[in-house]
Amino acid sequence: MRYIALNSLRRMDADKKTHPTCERCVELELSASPGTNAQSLLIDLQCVWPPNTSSTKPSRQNSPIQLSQPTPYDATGSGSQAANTQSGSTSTWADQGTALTPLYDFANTDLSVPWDVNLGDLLPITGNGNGNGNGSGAAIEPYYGTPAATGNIGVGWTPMDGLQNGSYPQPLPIPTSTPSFESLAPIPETSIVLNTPSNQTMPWRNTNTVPTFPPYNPYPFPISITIPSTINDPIEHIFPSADSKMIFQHVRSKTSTTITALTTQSQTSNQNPFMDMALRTIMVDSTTHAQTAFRHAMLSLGAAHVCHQYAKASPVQAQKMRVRTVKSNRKALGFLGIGTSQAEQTDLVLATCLTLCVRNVPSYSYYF
Amino acid sequence: MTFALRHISRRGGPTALLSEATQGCDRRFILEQLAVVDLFSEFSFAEVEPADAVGTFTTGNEPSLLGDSATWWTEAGTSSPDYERYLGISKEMTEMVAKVSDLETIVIKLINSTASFTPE
Repeated sequence: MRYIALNSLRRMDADKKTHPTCERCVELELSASPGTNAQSLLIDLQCVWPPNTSSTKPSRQNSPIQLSQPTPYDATGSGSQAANTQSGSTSTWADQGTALTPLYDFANTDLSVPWDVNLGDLLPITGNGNGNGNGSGAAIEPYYGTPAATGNIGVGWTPMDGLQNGSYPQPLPIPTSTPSFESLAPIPETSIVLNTPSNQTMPWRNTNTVPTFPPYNPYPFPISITIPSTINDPIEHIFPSADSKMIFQHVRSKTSTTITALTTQSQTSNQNPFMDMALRTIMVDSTTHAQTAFRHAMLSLGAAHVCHQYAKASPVQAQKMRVRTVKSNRKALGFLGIGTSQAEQTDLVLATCLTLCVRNVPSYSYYF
Repeated sequence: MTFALRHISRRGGPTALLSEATQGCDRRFILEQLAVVDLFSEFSFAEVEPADAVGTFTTGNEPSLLGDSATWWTEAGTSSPDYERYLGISKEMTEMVAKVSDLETIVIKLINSTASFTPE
């Protein structure tokens, strides 16, 4: 059976009278009994291509719309008899030209609308707006209901216009915003590295070494100080240790400008009076106990400021600096007890006490 | 701060220190700063003396350097022109705050003494 059907399809394809993909042809051939000549059956039925996909629909005779012209579907189906009757031809639809002729009959017919015909009769309006049939704008633009007198489309229209009789199409939703494609874009894999000054001045943040600071913008020595010619670096002479020298340079550059009530530069000398006092006190004498106490007070002040400055960035180093400031504070107080016995060291003792009082400001903020 | 105040009182007070012939050029500046710390600051040597509380304006204690006899504070011709600039208030205002703190201390002492008195 299947062999017969395939051979028949090949022959039909060769004859160009039927088509191998015609559903009706295949169905008829497959349903044919083994003793039936399928090719003769198909030739008698005269398959017409292209096949009508609506063949499964019910007959149009039951439809309320009655067509005067037969269709190709009618020619091969239930309407074939009516078509033959209408055309008056006694032949079947075997002749393709004859069968398709009624389809193009309208080309010879004058379908132009006469001028005396009202447009409302051609396009009857049953909704609101110009529903009397005399208006032409409403028939063309029923979407907006009543056309605006000013000509602006959409003015005067409400969502309920035209919906009472159900004849107006529903207005399409107006897009409120353009779609954003940014969220669909792939997120590039990037890493942001902030080039902050703290990164530049903190090469020690991941190490266990003592922080090192460059001597940026150091506070100048007062003019009244006379540095001996034998001393090349007075700071190194006072603070021989590299760590203590570095901390003092931090005090000289940064801490002296951030101390409360001492930050403003002097109006007369344009210098910080605290640093003037500190440098002058340090350089006057470097051999007494009071001067040693003052140096330890300066180191305690610088270490407390460093601890306060980098407490969040480098907690480990901040903790080390905190230990250092406490030790320096105790050493300063110890040397103060010895140095107070000398009356000529009163200035140094008072300066040490003032420095330690100022030092408690950043250390207090670190504790809390 | 307590150590500094004790040292100053041992030397005869601010007036005696400023009258010395061997004083340095920064002694007045240091004394002024210590007086301001004594009046306003509330920080102390927390690691050494936790109970040491300075700042008479906030603690109610009697000011040591700016009491009734603080003539050195308003001596004519010795006022630093930069004082108001780096402190924010004038020297007269600072002296008035010190006197208010002193009077408040006296009132607090009187209240405490009368509270402990029980009439028979």
